[in-house]
Amino acid sequence: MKRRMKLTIFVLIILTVFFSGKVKSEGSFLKPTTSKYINDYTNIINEDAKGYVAAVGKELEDKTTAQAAVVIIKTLEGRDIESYANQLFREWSIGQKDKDNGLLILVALNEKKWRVEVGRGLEGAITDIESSRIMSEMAVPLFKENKYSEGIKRVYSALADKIAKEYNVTLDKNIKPEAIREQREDVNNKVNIIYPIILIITLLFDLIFNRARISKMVLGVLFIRAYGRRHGGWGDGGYGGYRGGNGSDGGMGGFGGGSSGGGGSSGGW
Amino acid sequence: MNKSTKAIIGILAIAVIIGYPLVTTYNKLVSLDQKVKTAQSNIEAQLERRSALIPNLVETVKGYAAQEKGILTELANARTKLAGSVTLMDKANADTQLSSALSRLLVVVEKYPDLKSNQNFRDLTISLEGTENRISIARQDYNKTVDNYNTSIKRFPSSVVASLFRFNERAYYRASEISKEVPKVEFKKE
Repeated sequence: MKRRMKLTIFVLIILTVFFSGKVKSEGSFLKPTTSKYINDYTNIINEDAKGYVAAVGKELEDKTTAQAAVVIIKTLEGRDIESYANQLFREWSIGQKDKDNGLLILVALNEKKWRVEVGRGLEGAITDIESSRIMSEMAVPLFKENKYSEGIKRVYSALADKIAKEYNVTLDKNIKPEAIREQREDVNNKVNIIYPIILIITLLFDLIFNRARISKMVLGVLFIRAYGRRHGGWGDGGYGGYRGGNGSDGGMGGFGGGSSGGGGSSGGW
Repeated sequence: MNKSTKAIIGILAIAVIIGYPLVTTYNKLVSLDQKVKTAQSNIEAQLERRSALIPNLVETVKGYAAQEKGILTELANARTKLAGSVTLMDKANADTQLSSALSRLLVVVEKYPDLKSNQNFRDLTISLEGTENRISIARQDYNKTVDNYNTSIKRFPSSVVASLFRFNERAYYRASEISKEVPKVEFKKE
């Protein structure tokens, strides 16, 4: 009995490690930041511009359901920006699931390259030529002078207007950004910390007072399922995730499960 | 309960046990096959889109570099070939030819600064570049769906259902040998 208990605890620890590590090892891609619409991994964008993009992005999504995200990265690590942008877009599932109305502005500082990736649902609102023009006329001259914050603000505003026009709405662009961002961070932190704590407490109670009955049952179910899958059960395993939506929960960091077919334009400065 | 009712129940139970997985597997294969078809039509739509840009491009180039007849004819021929091909493989080959003519054109364009700075020409190159990217994404997606489908029809037990209902293996989209030698089309900006 004692040996079995030890074994159970051992397996549980392994499983916990496995599952907590799983999220990180899923892909080599970045996670969306808490501000959702503006993801600056280089600390080059100032607070004012971040607040502006977050506010306009929120208003745009509230009014049209379209999601427009900015991502600033240091380096593409040797990949070309087109496939990087497409994979990131799909990984995050920007845009709504059945509308594919997402937009991604990706800027790679080391390579001095930009790309606007447009989801299929917005290809009519923002053609390749239009996105290219907006970027090369509004952002590129500012990027050349290292004024990244200002450049991002301008192109984000212009592209958001294009989307709003497609949906026949106008954007006020004067929401207080602070409120939105703090609120989001709050929610995220609570979820992230509370869930593992509850899990651990439940497991401890189970081990101490219940002879790990629940844990054993869960383990049993998990292994039976894993076994069944590996041996090609009759169920409908196998196919999934090709369109970039990570199942029913609709993508990471609050994006909606949208995909992109490689529309948009790219360039450098 | 007499013997024959028991026998009927037994047969029904066996029918359900065998029939249910048969039906679900069949349906799964059908939907995988459908996904391949959707992905294929997506590639074809993008190929079409690119070929639709060619006449306009040819016209624009003619205005500045009419002497580059060789490349212009080549472009037009590749486009005709693409329009005339039926199977995806033929289309892939015709598209490769189109790509190689386009990349040669863009090398030649360097000699004509007026053409290079022409707004219409620049817009066309952006559109071509965008379509090129869409084709490459559509191609990856297609190959992924084919991979899923082919794996399913070869893997036991769905392979039994696949051979029973004649689900045939599907071909991957592979650009022909020439395309490996062709440099990637790159449009210089500014």
